[in-house]
Amino acid sequence: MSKTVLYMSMSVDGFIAGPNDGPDNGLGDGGHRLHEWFLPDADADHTGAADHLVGVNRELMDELMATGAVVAGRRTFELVGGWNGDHHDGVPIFVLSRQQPADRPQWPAVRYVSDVTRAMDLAREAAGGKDVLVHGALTARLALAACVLDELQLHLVPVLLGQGRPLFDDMSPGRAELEPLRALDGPGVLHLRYRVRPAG
Amino acid sequence: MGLIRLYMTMSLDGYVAGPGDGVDAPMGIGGFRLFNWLDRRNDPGPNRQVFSELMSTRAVISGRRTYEHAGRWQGDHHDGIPVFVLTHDVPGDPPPGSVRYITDVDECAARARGDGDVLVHGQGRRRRCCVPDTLTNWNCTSYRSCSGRADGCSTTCQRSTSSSACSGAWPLQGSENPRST
Repeated sequence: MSKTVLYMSMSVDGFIAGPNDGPDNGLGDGGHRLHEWFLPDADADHTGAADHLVGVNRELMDELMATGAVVAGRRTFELVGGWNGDHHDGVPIFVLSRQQPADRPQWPAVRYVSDVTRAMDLAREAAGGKDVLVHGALTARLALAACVLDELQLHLVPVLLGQGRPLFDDMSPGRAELEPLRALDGPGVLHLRYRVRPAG
Repeated sequence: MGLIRLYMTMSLDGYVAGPGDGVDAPMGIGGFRLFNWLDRRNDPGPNRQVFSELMSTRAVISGRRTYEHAGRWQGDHHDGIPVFVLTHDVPGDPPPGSVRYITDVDECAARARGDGDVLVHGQGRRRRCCVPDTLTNWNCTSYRSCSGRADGCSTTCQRSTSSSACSGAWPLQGSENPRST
């Protein structure tokens, strides 16, 4: 069965973007450092990014690109220009958004969904037995809270950004046990994978 | 020369204690979960390796808060090695065992440094910029340094190879600082 997996690059102090992130500064000040492991030139365009990768980093990127559907938060989706409607291989993209945007481009693979559980259900169905790639910190937190996120695939980058946008911000109180599945030591990044244990 | 290294057990979301921590509840609500791995600190493998490294350090630097929460380690952290406690407010009673109270962070680092590595305890929340030479994170991924109290200071320090960039920083030695690249 398809698993929903958050793929996220994070600094050792827990940030996924630098400060002052916004429409023209998607990763915030200095935040490109977090993506250097797969984009050495800090190019925001992901097209062909994996071609130069080798070893563990290549393995991780290939896994990501083998997912069968994408669930992204609207903020993340818009920061990257909606990937021009195609994240990879034309897989279905479900954008989590409270409202249907009025003037959105008509991309056939993109569908707006207002509820995180519904978005994950639709993505699982659409993924054809492959995993679902989850994008976006808020979406990940909503999915965690709704118990519809199966795994965390964190790419831990050896830097302290000092400030920025934290991944685990504004969490609901209470403990969530994680099961470590894998730790892969790649060039310039440590890939940590955890299974989110079901509540109860 | 030995390195000054922070050893810290931390949750994946960056916490080193649960909420409501204080002298009566040193790890906060649920915070002792972080130390479960210590139950197996003598098992062969990484747990034992890291714990033995910790126990091989030849001096301790601790914040006052951590020190008090830990019951002052009854004056002996391990092997009777010197324990330097950073505090603005030196207690009136004489320090127990091998403990010394130090008010200046640079002096603290200078006195602790020797042939062996130095164990740093505490996150330095109320300190100025406490940046050790290396961070050993257990259990975990992230380390929240200086918790915002240092404001821009912490960022400057971590990207610098010089202690002069931030007054009050531990002396950073460029060649020893893994974050200097």
